[in-house]
Formats: sequence, structure tokens, C-alpha cells
Amino acid sequence: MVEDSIMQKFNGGDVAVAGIDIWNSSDAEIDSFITATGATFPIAKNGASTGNAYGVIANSMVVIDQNGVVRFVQQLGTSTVTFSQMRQTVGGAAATMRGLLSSGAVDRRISAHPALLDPSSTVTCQDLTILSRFGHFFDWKVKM
Amino acid sequence: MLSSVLISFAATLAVNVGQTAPVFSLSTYKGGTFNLAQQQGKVVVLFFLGCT
Repeated sequence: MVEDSIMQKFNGGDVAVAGIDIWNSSDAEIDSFITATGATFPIAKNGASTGNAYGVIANSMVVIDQNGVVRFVQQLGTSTVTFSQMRQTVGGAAATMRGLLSSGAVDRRISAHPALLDPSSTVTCQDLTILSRFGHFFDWKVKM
Repeated sequence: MLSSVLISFAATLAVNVGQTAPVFSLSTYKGGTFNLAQQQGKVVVLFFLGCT
């Protein structure tokens, strides 16, 4: 199964998550964002040039594999993604999360969104945006 | 209309799957640094956001 191969690759929870503020917001604005979303991942500041390098707009997600190769790009808010599509990518975030979830390596509250547990479900980018806004999608509690 | 043009423009320029991720090093809020080059061996999830 895809999940099994992903789990083997990710055994030990070697996943790093970071937010990159591509609007070069002030500390006060970042603080407000954290308060509003409950985000616990580190937020890199002054990332406008990095955003340009990746060619992405705000509310986008990129997954990079262990060797520094881009494995998943999602411009949130521009299209629809299915979890079956995401599961096809080694580094697909949902697949990673589902695998970690089934192994008990992550906080169970991630399972609050039923779409994440149904591999055949289709979620809109709006759903993903909501998930990320509230930190659920990225707030992985990986047991090291 | 304008926004759809901007979005399609951005999508055209986005990094492609299979491409080497552009390296970067940025200071993080409340101290520290996130250096992509130092994440070798880890799967990295980047969430590009705008703080308002």
C-alpha cells in the first residue's frame, strides 16, 4: 500500500513543517496570524523573494522530499485536489499525515476533518485553506 | 478578472514536481533560522502564507 511505503520512508517522523510569510509582514502581523490560527509551526519572515523563487501565491503548499526534490505543489484557492492524487506522491502531505495518523505518530485531533480519512473524497482548496488556517493540516505532533 | 489573470500567471511560474527545490534561509519569527539546505533527509512541508 502507498501508506505503508510512505510510513517506511518516514519512519521516525522526519518531517519538517514551516510557514513562510511571503508578504513580508511585520512581527505584529505575524503575531496576530498566530493568535488567529493557532499555528505552531515556525514562520519564516521576509519570504517574498522565496515565494517568487517558488512561484507561488499566499496559501500555497509545497512538499519537498528527503533529497530536496519538489514532490507536491498546491496553489491553494486555484484548483481542486483529490486525496487519491495526493496519495500518489511520495511526499504528499495528506498521505504523509494519513500514514502517520494510522501509526499513532501524530496527534489524533488531526482526524477532526473527516475528508482526511476518506481516501476517495474530493476536497476543495477552500477546505484545505480552512484546515491550514486553523493549523490542523500542518500542526503535526510528530513523536520523535 | 484581474485576479484570475494573476493566478494563472503565478501558476505558470510555480516550481514543478521533480524539480530541485530552490534553497533559501530565512529568519523565523521569535528567533532562529529556517535553512532548507539543512533539512536534507527530512520531508519538508512549506506553507506559503501572508500574515494580515
